Amino acid sequence: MTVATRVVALVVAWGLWACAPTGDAAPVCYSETLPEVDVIVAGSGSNLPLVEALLAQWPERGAVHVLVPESIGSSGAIAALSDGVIDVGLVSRPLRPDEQRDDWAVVPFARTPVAVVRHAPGGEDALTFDALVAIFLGEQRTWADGTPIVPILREAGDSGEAVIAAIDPSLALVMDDARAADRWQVALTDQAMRTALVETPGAIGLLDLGVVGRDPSLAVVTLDGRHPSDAQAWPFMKTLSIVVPEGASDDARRLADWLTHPDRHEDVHALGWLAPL
Amino acid sequence: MRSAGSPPSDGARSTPRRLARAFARRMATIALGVAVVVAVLPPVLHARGLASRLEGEAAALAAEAATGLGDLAVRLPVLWRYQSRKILQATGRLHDRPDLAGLIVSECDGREVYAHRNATIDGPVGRAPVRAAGQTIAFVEVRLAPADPSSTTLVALLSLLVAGLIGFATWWWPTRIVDGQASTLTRTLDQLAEADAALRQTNDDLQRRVDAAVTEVRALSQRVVGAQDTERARIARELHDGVGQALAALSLELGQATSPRLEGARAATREALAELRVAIDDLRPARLDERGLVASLRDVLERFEVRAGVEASLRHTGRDVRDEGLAAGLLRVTQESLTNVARHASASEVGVVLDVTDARVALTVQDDGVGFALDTPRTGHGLDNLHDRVTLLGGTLIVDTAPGRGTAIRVVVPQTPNPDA
Repeated sequence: MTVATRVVALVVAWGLWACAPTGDAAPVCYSETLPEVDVIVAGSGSNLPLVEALLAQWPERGAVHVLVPESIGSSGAIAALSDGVIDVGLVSRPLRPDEQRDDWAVVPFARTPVAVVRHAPGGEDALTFDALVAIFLGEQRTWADGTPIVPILREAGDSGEAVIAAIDPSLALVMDDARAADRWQVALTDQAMRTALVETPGAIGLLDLGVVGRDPSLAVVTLDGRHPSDAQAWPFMKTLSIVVPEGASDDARRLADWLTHPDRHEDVHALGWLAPL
Repeated sequence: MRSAGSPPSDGARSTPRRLARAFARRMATIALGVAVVVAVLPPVLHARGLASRLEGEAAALAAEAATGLGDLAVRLPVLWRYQSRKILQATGRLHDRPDLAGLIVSECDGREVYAHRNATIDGPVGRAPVRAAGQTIAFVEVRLAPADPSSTTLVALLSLLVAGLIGFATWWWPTRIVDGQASTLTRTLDQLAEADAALRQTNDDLQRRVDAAVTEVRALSQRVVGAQDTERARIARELHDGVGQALAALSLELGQATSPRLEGARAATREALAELRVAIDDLRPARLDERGLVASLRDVLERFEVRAGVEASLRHTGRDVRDEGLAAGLLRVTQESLTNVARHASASEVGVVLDVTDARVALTVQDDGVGFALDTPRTGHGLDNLHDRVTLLGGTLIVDTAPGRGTAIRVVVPQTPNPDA
């Protein structure tokens, strides 16, 4: 074997070694458990402030322990219900055909306008729909006072965006394009959107009117001369519903019945939301 | 006088060139090996480095996502699974990766909580455990697209180019040096050949001069020996014509005498005349062409017996020697050898052996005397004369003797072909 042959063999062996795959560690399992409560109510963040406020008035709140964890989204609520992990689901959009089940009762209990909200002070209080599209398209970059506009998006599939898309898909398409281009910041929850709008000068985004509250750092913008508080004129409405499986516990069923009872409409209205149609 | 060495042959002169070619072939093999290493190593290292970097990035992304999910799991035990999609979307570095080929969150039992995968892409995988409250509750697996091969291809092409250059340099540079050395060696061999030719010429000249000197010496020796023989003949003639005639006349005059004293004088005169005839015969041998060498040797030996009192014998095989020159030379050699025996050997017996063949004549004179050491310095000229005579005959002389072992004089003379034989 010549020197050259040895060198080549050495290189080949080294190459094979260098390209060899490495092994993975074997997983070690640990089973999680939820807190010991009577009823778990979970779902869309749009519902949570209203549900928590209503639960505070529930007569059985001392006897029945109810857990309302942070948002897992409408889709999460449906999946968790399917898995039997939660007792009552909260959704802020209509169920898609593949999500609907015969043994589930989907009961609306409130509505809320999907508003266009901006950081205050600064900015403009009135926009046209085309101007809003131009803002998220990046064509309009400053407010009238010269402040840079900072559009903030929700994640794809957000119920508020779906509501607008159902009426005029152009804004949703622009937002899809912006997300794909990673043009603007994305907020994953209503609370994250609210916080971003409060803390970011020049920010503008979509937010449930019920979540806006009376924070002076937030201003609701009129679109084409219509204000979201005008339920008759405002086209972008989100319906909040409760999903209760047929086999839900009595506690869960009683809670769901109480939340969706017509007697609650007045409370809902008082809390800043609209009663269901 | 000839040089012991021989001039470099054409084969020897071409040896440096052959060695240089063999070295070039060997270096070509080594250069090829070097080129292969240089061509293969960088692309492999580069590809390996890229793969390692991507594996590291995949592992880091998986760890980042797992950390986010772990934080969520602390706030949302069990339910984090239903929010994991948002968390993973929010993991900016994952979201921004155009080369993200797969993102899978799976529980310990393998059930997938979240799965986004491109089945056609198989790249480096990073895996990290999702931990909540110090416990592993799930795993995040991030799969990235394989590294863009264009950079590796570029490295491979550059490596190929560099390998070609290095391989060529590895072959060319030492080969050029060895070629130069081979040329120098060839020139040296050429100079050596020229010097050797000059030395040969000098040797030939010297040899010719030596041969001429030897020829001259031989001729001189021949003249000396011839002069000796002539002088011997002259002395023999003078003795025969002078002293011999006088002694003969005196013997005739005394033959008439009657007194006892004159009778004694006549006897002494006859004895002197007989000794004179012996001396004359020794000085001038009888006609060898008529009697031959064998008969002459017998006469010499008979006289030697009488005169020296040493028993002498002749043994002869083959033909007789009729060539007068050769016979005379051999007879003189025998006579001088016998003279040496008589003077120095203290021998009681001497034997002469004559062996004649068509090719040569061998003569041996051997005595049982005291012998002598060959390396002992000699005062007389006996052996030198013998040597000269044998040399004149074109033969060889061997003296075989040692103290206490007697002496043997062996002469071998080549015989020219005799058409009458």
